[in-house]
Amino acid sequence: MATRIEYDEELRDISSQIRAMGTEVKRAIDMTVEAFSGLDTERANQIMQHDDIIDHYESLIEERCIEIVVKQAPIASDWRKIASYMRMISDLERIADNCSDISMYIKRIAAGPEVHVPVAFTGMFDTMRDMVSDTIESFFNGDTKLAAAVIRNDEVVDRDFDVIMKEISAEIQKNPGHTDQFLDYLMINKYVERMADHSANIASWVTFIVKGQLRLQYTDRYRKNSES
Amino acid sequence: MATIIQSENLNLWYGDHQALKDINLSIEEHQITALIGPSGCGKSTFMKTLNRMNDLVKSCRIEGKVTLNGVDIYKDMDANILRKRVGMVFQKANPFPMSIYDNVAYGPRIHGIRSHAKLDEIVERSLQQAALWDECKDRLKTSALGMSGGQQQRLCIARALAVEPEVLLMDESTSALDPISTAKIEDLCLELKKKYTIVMVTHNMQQANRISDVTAFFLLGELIEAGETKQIFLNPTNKKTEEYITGRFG
Repeated sequence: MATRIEYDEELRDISSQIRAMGTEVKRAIDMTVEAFSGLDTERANQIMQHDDIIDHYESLIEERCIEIVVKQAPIASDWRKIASYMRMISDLERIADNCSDISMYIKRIAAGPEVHVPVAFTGMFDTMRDMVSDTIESFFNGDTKLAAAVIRNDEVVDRDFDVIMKEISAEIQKNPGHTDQFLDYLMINKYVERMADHSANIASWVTFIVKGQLRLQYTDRYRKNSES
Repeated sequence: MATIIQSENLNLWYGDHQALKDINLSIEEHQITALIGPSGCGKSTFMKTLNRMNDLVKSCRIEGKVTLNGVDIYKDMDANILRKRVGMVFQKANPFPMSIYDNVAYGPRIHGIRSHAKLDEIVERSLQQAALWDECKDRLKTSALGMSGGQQQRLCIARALAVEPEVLLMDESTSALDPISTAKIEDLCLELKKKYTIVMVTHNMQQANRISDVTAFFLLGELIEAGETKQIFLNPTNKKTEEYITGRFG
């Protein structure tokens, strides 16, 4: 006889809501790439409005996770899932916030004179977008290999970040009159890098769900920096 | 950490029914070991083999070995001596129909202690250890039957501690108690494990998770999985353990 039918349905329902939230976050990223490449202020406004949907998903899912913890006291794989869900929605919400942050800078850049856009942005956006998509897939499929690939790709984004920062620094020296524009690009650079970090955070929880082992991937990076 | 009790290839039959199958389990001293599993899985039967309570069951037959500090308790130990060293507290509090004082002094008297001063000292120490002294020091001569359910159960713990056992067996000892009395006994167990070793049978998964160091899962007379409680409740190795503790056992 099957037991805990309602509980299982509730878990499945929460899981499908997180998938829906993930779809909305991916849509926000697609719109951000579009707004960035065309300096499309209309699109930028839509992204900021779209953020409300994602915030709503976050609070809804968070509430349901808290309720299931209180009512069902999940343990073992159930607990690993719920704990990871709560971390995941927080990272997804931050990624969406970063889309809105970037939109704000897109509007400022669009309002000023045209400047040279650092070329590595295209590749950096693409890698970050793939990371978000892959991390959501790895999360729901328990695919630790894909999760590990996401974490590795964070280093690619970090390298792009450094390349863009150097390019912006050189452009500011060449065109000091456009410093404000380049500082806005620098902020976008940082936001994209943070979005990749959030994807890697989510990926690090996949190992926890599948194997019960916490993998704090960002610890290594800070250690490396502190030793260099 | 040292092993205090060891069961080796332990098999037990009640008539034709085999209730325990090849149980190999080490109980470490100064730890709380929780035995979990569905009704009829053998966990209480296993616990009763640790102080030979099954000797009282006529149709019971045992093969294999249980040792207490390396000594075979079925071959080389007197049952009375064993039960002094391995005390037991049951599901339902069972105070004797006598005073609080006499309940605690009962065991030491049986073991030959007659000195009033010595008995006073044992009664106070045991009630202190059972976190009951402050509640009953002014009414030691009143009937134990007038105590609340939680107090009666702690009195039974005090009675078990009075003969200074090494191991305390607790068979669903909080299952009939309210949450506050349960919490008091759980706190007590955490305190007692500094001096004693505790083995508890419980159907309360949260309780096993909260206070035990090691959890052993029994099913149909077999020991399915035993390990560090944190690991069992976060990431059990065996699928059957996972199904049982998450309530999906059908």
